[in-house]
Amino acid sequence: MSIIVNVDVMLAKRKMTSGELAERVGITQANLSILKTGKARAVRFSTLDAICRALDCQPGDILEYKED
Amino acid sequence: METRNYKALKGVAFTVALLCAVHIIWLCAQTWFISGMGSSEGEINWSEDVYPFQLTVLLARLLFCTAYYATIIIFIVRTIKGLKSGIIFPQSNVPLLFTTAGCYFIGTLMSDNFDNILLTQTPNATYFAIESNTILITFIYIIFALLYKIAANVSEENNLTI
Repeated sequence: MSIIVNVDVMLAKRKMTSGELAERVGITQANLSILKTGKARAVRFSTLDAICRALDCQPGDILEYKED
Repeated sequence: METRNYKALKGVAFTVALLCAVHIIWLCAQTWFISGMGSSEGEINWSEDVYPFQLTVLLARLLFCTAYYATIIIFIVRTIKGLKSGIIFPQSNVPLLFTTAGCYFIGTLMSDNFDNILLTQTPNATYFAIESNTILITFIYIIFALLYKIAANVSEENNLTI
């Protein structure tokens, strides 16, 4: 897929662990891993909202479009 | 899934699986007795002219009817296993349902023609008569399999929605 998830980059910038983010967002670590590895088929707005709130960033900081 | 629904589904599934297992045993025993010693349903009248055809029908009936019940049992086992791990529609059940439809069609075709080909006094039939119900129920199985396939895909997609 040409949508790249940059959660890892934001986590490093904010010096936050995956476990901490998962806890703050209210999703399991397994689901966060699915999102980070680009295996997710869709992201709910509520999840995106929670991630942006937890990482204090914009959706564009997490999701990126790259042509194949 | 609610515990009550899960228990009800599990109960029904076990009952169906048990009935299928009994059917398989009955079918094997019936084939054994009917081909060997005869039974209350009558003895097989082997005819030299159509012997290969008769034997094919006898074995195909046993094979496909057994396979039909076996696929149902496997379907139930996979469903219960899937429910335990939170998967309502396991993908592995999709090809199994198409196999069930195929086994049902051939098994029922053989069963419907069993009397005419094997038990009649003067066996000379070398053709199959197809009942409309057999075709109809086979199509219902195929429709169910296609719907199950869609449900399995939607369920998988839903699991990958974060």
